[in-house]
Amino acid sequence: MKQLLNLTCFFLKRRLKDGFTIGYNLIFPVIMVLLLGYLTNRNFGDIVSSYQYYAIVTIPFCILMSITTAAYAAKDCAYQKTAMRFVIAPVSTTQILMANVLSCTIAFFLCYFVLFFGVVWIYRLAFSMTWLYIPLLYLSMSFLVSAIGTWIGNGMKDFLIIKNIMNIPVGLLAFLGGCFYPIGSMNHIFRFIIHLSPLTWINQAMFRCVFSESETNAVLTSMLLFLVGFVCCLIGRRSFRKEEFLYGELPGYEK
Amino acid sequence: MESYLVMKNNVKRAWHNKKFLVLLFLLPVVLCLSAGLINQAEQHAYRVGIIGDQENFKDLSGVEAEETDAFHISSDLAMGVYQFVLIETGEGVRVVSNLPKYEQEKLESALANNELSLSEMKAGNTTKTERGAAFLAMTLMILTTVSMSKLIHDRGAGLYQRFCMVTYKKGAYHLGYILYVMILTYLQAFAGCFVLKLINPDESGMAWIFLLPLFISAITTIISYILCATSQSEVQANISSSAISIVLALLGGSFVAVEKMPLLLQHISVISPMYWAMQIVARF
Repeated sequence: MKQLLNLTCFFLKRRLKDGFTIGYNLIFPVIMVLLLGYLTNRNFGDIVSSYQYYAIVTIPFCILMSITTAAYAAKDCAYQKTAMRFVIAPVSTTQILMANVLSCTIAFFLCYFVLFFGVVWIYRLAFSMTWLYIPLLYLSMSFLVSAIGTWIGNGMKDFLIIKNIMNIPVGLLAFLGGCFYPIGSMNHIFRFIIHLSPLTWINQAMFRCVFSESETNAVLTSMLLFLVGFVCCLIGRRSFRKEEFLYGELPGYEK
Repeated sequence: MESYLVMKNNVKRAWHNKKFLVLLFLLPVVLCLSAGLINQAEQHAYRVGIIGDQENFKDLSGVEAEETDAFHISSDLAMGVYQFVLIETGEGVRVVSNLPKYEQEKLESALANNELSLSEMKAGNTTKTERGAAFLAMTLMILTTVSMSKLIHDRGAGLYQRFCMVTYKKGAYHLGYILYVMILTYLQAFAGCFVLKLINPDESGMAWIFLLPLFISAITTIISYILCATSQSEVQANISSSAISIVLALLGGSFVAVEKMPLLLQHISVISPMYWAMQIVARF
């Protein structure tokens, strides 16, 4: 337990000092909200402004995008040529994996928690007690994304390819989840398909919390995300190979 | 003559790398098909929530109406599940919506005058083919930079220096590259335009299929050449082109129709090649 705690703290420090994590999880969503909010501000009315809408839907989308950051974080030791030290150190494989997952979860959660209260304050969303469930949603999403990212990252050979490939399904899920266009702008065929995107459920839970003061969706969605995240951790542990963990070439970034 | 040799050499290199060549042609076609599919997702009728007796609203045409839950009105309207909700109050019908003011006023006056066919009100000004053309231009801007970035690779590998030592004509090498990339992009753009026309045959004329590839190939080649000439590495050039093309596509009206953008952006949008790509489709 002590080893896990030490490793998690060590990885967490690295994540919080990493420009990649901060850039992807803090600066990118702010730019996206400002850009999309300004671009569409003539298409929204009085109930929710374009900035408020995109502030709510962009954060879950960016958490999902963090799969790439988590995959990079899983390979960080190998890229820094320090992975061998972790393998020969008196720590188990499970502890290395869980430390990676937990450090990414905390780093992402902190970024998006700060961001959420930032946008609430800037765009003046009316406060209600059900908002307390929103951090729970962010935490469960961050855990799931970190678990999937660590699983992918440990087995990947080329980070650039993974980054480009991952952007396609994430973009598609975001489109279906209402992150670019409101859900009502889709026809009846797509209205069925959008329910296949987890972002639809997550966004719905967020909107219910903020605008209807109803927390049921948020609690159920969070529980499900934690459960799936835990299953991904187990799969990641089973598919872990030391030789893949040690492989640290980063094609495309050679100087 | 030297430029011709550079162009020929590049065509040969591309021909030997068949996987890359197939991908270059397949990608715009697949993306145009995807854009066509995504455009089909658009809803052209208002989606309306009804609170009260549905029988009272049975004359409402041009809309998709369904009974809704009063508790979730705000979140449903905020999410865009319904464009507006009609509430029967006993004294009449109240309209609640998250539509912008100008659209809400039009809607209320249409409902007050019993003009219950609202489908025309919602119809947008941008056609599916126009959006597809803007999407194609954005994709090709990224792909053209991928092809042009081989210029940076040649600089690093010493090929460019060897050519200059033999011919003393730096410009000829650049011109040869520009011609090669322009021809390649024209063919890619033509394939994409052909797919767009096949998906929506009745939306536009025929001349744009030949004109638009010419415009796209010229403009994307110039932009990608400037990017590659000023970048230190291939990755830097490709990331820059992706960022620039997305910003230009947003400005050009591929995400939100230009007429629905804020006034300032409507004026700025003319600098975007995607805006002109849409204009070519609309006018020819």
